[in-house]
Amino acid sequence: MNIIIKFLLKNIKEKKLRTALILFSITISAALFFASSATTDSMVKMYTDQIKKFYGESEIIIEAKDTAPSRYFNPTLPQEYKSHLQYSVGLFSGTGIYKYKRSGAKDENVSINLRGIDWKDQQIISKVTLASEFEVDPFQGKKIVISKKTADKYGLEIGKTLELMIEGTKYKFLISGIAQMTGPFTDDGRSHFAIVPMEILSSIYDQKGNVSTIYIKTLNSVEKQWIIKGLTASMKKQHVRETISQSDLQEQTGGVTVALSMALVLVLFMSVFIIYTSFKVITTERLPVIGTFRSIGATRKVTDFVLLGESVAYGVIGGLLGSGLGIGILYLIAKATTPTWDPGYKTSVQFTSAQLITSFLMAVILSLLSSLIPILKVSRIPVKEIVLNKIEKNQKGSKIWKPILGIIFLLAAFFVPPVAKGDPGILMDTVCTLLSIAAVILLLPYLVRGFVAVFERLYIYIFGNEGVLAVKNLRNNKNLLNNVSLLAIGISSLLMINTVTRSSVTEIINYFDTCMKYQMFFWVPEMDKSYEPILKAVDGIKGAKGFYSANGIEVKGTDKKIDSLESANKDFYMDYIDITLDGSKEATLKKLEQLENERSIIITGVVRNKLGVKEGDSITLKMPAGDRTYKIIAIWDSMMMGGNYAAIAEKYLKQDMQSKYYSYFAIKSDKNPEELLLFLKDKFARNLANGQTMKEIKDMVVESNSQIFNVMNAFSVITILIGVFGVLNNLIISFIERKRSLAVFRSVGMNKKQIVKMIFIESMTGGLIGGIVGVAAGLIMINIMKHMLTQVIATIPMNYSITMLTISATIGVIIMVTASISPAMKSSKLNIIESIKYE
Amino acid sequence: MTAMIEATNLCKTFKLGTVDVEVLKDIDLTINSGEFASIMGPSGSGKSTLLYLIGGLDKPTTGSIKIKGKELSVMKDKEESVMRRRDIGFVFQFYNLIPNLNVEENIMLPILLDGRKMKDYKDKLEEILEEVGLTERRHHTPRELSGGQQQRVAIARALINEPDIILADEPIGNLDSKTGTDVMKLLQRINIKKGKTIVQVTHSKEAAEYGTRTINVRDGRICE
Repeated sequence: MNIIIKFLLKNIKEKKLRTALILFSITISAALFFASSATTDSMVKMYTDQIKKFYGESEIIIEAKDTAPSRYFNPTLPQEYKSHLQYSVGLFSGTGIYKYKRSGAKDENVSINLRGIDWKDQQIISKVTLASEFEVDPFQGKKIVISKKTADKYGLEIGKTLELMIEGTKYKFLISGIAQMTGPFTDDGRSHFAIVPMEILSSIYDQKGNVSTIYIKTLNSVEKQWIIKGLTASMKKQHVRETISQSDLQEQTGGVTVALSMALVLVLFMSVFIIYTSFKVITTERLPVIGTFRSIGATRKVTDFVLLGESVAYGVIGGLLGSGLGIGILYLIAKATTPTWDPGYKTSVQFTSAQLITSFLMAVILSLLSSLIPILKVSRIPVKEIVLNKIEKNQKGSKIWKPILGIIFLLAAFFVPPVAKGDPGILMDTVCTLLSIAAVILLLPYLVRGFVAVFERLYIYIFGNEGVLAVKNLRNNKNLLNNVSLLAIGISSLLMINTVTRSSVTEIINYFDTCMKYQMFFWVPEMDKSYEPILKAVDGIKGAKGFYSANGIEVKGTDKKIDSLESANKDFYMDYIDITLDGSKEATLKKLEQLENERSIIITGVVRNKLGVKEGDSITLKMPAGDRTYKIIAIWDSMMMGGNYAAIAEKYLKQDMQSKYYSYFAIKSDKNPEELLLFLKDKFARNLANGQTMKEIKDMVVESNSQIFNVMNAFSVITILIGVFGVLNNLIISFIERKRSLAVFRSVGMNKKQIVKMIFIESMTGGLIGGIVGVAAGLIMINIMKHMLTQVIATIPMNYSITMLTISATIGVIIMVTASISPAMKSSKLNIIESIKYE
Repeated sequence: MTAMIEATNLCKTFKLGTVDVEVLKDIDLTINSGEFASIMGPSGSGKSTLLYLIGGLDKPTTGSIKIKGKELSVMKDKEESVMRRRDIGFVFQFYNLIPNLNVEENIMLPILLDGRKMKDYKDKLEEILEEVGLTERRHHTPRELSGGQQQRVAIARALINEPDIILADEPIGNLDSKTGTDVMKLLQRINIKKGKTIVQVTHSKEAAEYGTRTINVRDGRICE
């Protein structure tokens, strides 16, 4: 036994390149497995870190409801809960305007978000680090702590005064602290933030003793839901909720998680294939010696055990290396998905030791399971056949179940996704993607035969007899078939991910460029109809229309929410948005009239899929006025608000949501939107105006999607990269197995040039078939993804580019031809006698 | 009688670790056209090495080999390959057929390598298939054939280009005695009917008896 182990260890050591190739495959698989499983956690951490800058460790937040008479309230909590809380901190929010005098230019009205809070309380919920301070303690009277960014930008100095206009009156504050850009002062790239004593701010607002928000941390987080329930019951006018809810996190990370899971499935599939083929190399190489060991008395158990031990060793080393590499990849993914439009987000990685251990174990199990089949196959070969090298003759003919199963899988991949709906639909679509890959592998030998028949006729004219021999060699060569499979999987993944991401970005751009016929959103607190004529009077504004909207409306009887519910009226939809319902403008008009006249709702395709409803059904929404039932009168396939969107008549939204004010104005303009928005912000600065141009939103959405798509594309490139290593492995094993055949070619008169030519034609043809099959499989997978995206986002028309299809097929050829350079050179230098007589 | 194969002062040395092993020592050998020579000798005597040197599959350390009067050592790879497909036909102990090609394709291999069209050799193929008795098995792949059938395919392959010389390395070494006899009879028939020069390496005295001449090799030297 010891001799056998010694021999194998020596072999591993001697075959440095091979060992490196196997380890690379396992390492990459483990790394990607780790990175994709930890990415969701990292994104959650980034998201929660960003929120925690304001909330700190607080678990519960209490704010006045929209329907409450005032946004300020008494912070006294019911006595029975107080003993269950670690802290309960009240704060008072307000806004101040600082007039920044610029020499030679118009004064700038700078809006500063003010937080009134006791200094000690602020330090409890989220620590503030001061860069400089001046009599900050005691934090009483008209003192203010501003951010370093605000101080630097407007030349404000410690110990000086800062004049702010609050509620129409000017107040002078002493700048007693300049804070580092951490905690609540973390830069969000848009606004300015300052802290003042709570007492002074609430007095200015004439709300002494009241607060706008309460932050709570429980003593025992298990009691969180119980406390929320109790406080909700006793604080009728306030909204009590978790600072970070599971559904928020889900929404924030869901897209990436689904995308990464999909990519991971492809990578794992590829890895299994690679390790499997790697072990075919190992077992093939070791075969003569295994035969010798067995012939001198080693049992099958012993040789199996040693080979399995070798696979475990690769798994262990690959797992360890993969975990390290995984942390690096995780950081890169985190960096790529960190929102760049909001400096408040800092790239951070989050993973647990459990994830590291799982990835490590995955590497070991993956290596062990993938190597099991080749090892058991070798184990079943009789010693005599190994010793006499008659293994080639032992290959069994093709099995009929393979093409039948392949066709069934293919049909499933075609016909199941269009009918798969809802959450099970997404799972079925994922399964169908795997089935399409499995179908490729099962049907490939038969497809290759078809290709060979065509190429044979073609190549005689292009490459002569060597070309014909080359394609004939492809027929039953398992290793070349494996290569074609690897290429097909890699190329189809690349094509699918590339097409889907490109189509999604194009669709988003189309949505903003064609669907939205207005140029900006504009809002100030407590806007009503009176703003409409004022806005319309502004030079450059061609139209302004107020909207009511509500977010996160729960649908009764489900655990689903409609992210964005908006007020709709016929005029707005016809003038401001390019909407087509039921296929024509007339039908659209009719539906919008119906919407105005009854309690009805238009939902997007995403909401339909999410709720599993159809046109004509009714849904009940949980609204402040009570549960209200709406009839679905139309389904709109739109990316509006990311797809999770519904519209009801303005009067019903006002009534049922008890909305008093517009959420925003949609503004049409023929002026430069950026300039107009700046003008409006300045004009309505006292009213704390804000807004966003459509271009800003588009850029943000495109960028946020591009980041996810970049990660997806990186995965597809890695899939191809793993494929390349697999191809290299297979070409090496193919060379080892074909040494004798190649020597025979030489012995019957094939010269070195002809050998090289034949091998290159073989590789090129294999690459071409891999490319063509990959493109075909890619198109099937794109079709599946299209249906999947319809469930998750919206119906996105897929943009197929002939260039991309051609490039995909060409990638196959390039990979194969490049990878075959070394085997081709080795073949030409083959020792004919050694190879012929190696039995 | 013309000399088909001429070996003069042929030496072959292999490196075995750090030691040089002289496998063939100063061999002089002439095989004339139409001869059926059997090279015999114990294992390690150098008989197979001699055959491979004659076939141009290996290079001698010193000495010269002429095939149909042409010196092998000055030939480039391309010329040597042309010689192997036009002037020599090889038959190996383990048949050495290409597993992915069927019987027809395996037989036609030397034609294909010579850049000629298979369709121009249809009649020739029929004739050879008839000769080796494999007409019915023409579309089968090697793994679907018995050992004897595979060896007959290998012989057919060696004959398709009508080479003057057939080199056979233990042609019946892997066959049972009945099949072995059939194969030897076939080779003998080819030698007599077609006038081909055949050189076989064999351990078997019975096999050698089908030939016209026996060459004994011992310790790297010929002792006829």
